[in-house]
Amino acid sequence: MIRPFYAVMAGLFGLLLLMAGHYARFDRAGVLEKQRTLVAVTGLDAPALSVAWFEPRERRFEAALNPAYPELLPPDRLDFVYGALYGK
Amino acid sequence: MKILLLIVFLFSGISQAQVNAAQYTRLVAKGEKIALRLCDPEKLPKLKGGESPEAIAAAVRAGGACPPLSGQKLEALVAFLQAGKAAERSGNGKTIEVPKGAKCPVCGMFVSKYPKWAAEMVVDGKTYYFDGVKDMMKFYIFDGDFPYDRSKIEKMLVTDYYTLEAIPAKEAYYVIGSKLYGPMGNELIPFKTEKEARDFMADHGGDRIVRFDQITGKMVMGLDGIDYSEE
Amino acid sequence: MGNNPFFHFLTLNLFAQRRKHLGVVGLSVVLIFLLASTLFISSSLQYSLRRALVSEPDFVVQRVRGEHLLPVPEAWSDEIAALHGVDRVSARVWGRYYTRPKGKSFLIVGIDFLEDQSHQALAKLVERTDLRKFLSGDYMIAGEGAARWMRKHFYQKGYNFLAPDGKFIPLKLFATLPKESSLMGEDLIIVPIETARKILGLGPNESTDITFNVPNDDERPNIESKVSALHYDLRIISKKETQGAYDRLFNYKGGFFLVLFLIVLLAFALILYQRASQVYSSEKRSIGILRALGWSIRDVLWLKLGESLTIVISSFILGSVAAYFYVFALGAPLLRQIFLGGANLTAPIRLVPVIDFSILASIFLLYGVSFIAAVLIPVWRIAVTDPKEAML
Repeated sequence: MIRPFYAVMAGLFGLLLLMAGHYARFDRAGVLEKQRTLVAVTGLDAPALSVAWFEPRERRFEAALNPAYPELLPPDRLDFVYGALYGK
Repeated sequence: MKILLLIVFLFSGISQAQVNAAQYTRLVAKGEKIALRLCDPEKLPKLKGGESPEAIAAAVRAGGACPPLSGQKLEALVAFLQAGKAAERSGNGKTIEVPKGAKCPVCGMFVSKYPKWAAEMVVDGKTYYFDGVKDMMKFYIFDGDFPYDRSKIEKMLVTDYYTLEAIPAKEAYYVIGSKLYGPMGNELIPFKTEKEARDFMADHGGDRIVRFDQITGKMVMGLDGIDYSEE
Repeated sequence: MGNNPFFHFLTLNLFAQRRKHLGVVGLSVVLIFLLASTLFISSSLQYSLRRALVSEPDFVVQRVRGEHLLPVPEAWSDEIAALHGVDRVSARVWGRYYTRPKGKSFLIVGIDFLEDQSHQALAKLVERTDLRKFLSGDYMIAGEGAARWMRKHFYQKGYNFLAPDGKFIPLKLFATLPKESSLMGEDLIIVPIETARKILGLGPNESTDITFNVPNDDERPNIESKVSALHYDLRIISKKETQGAYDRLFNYKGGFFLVLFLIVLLAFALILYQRASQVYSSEKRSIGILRALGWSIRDVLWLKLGESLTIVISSFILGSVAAYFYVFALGAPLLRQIFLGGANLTAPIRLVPVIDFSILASIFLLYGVSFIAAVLIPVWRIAVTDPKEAML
């Protein structure tokens, strides 16, 4: 059963080569440059992140935050990540 | 103690005059850009001098050189036309380009690792790069250690601290004794204007401001803590 | 190699029990696929963001009251420009525009075309040179996602924005941003700065925030403290902090997923172990026969090692390659919602292929070593018992 074994190994190796080829041929500089140019134009770099943006006019109150204990965050806020940005 | 803090705070604040000067410069620069980008530069009214801003504004509107401008843009354009010339930018935005393997002839360090502190001297066609003004001054003053024909010096450039642009060494103001260290320890820190040097001293400390001609060997060696006296 | 009886036997064994082996390979491929694609997405996003962050300005100044952002007056730009060491002060106008009937939000960014940098960069991005027309008329440049949404909802030529004072502002579509930039610009709409002020309800001298650069990084802490001291309601954010926040965000989201995944991994590991040692009795017998035939314990172990190594390597390669193409050729349709929002991105995005070999190696070791151990230890235990007992 050696020949099927060789065939399987050759197939796997071929897949690896395909992957390496795609990696090498990818126009990395072009994509990065377009993204960098966009940031240079707008000055905002945030990727299109996060859950659906909550609109206070829809939710009827600002951010579902308890004003008495602002550190008790609701599950859809990420202040502990961005916290140092806005905690000053 | 409180009085000291208050004095420091007052010195490091910015005066209204400073703000107004900056505002005017920006307005003129903006007017220049409007004139170049939005308007047809040929058709702008030529001023004889001494006209009031309203008259200039009316002339601009009548001349039809520009598309209809909002109040702010019109004001900027008027300020530019009044100023008469392009807002001067001292310096040209160029930094000292240090080649990769350049070594300082005084201390042997690679200058490209410290591009903010680089200084350049061109002597008789050869270019020397230094990793600080102190080393360049050592190279310049001590003719016993570094013999070369000092009359063949073509140009000397230092890097301004605030904008990182290249400025001629002879026109710069140097601060000695600040708390900020360069790659070789205590340094002479160059500035374009005396006002900038003074404000820097208020922030970072410093003994005095000197110009190029006032630098002596004693001063330079004193930065290293060596007591040097001319024989 | 072709004449080696050991090798023959190895391959024979592999194909004889192919159903069992294929089951194990399938499970492992699924596990490795999930793990590797998460890691690929995370490292690619971090790579892109870090490279793009280079052109961001060094500092951003905002005006806050409580939690809200207030419009920043123009006088602040002049105060900041009067400081030494500050370069390229520019006021930005941007904000979220939400359209209630359709439930869609856009990010509106105003561009001041008198700024050299934005002007040239935009011309390069959109590849059109008649930007003067864009500036003078009522036009907008939309990101890929925004343009597609408009087409889908039959806003072919343009869209009417509702300003806070009740007036409609109709804007025609001038150009679309290239799709390579849709990682950042999916729901972006770029308009001239005056139009942006009207849509967002800012006065003619107000802006959302002010940005500036400080070329000498020794001077940055000094400038930061000076600018914060200018006004009581001023907040200054530096680029270092933004970078740190995004790194933390990806580590958090990736870590959250990994913790859940570890639990799943444990469950799968148990199933794997059970399956691998499932045919306990027939395994026992075959090993017993081999021992009786004269095979040494070492040879038996080598055989089993060869088998499991083949399984490990082939499943690892299959899993990684599948993850690679899933992430970098298809854009990872479902998994990317862990990191990026589902509401904003609805179409394929191009991620930059980044392979972090250290992580792949650690996945391989983690998976491979534990699998091989799980197979070899019972085999060894059988191999050391008396063949006569084992054959029964």
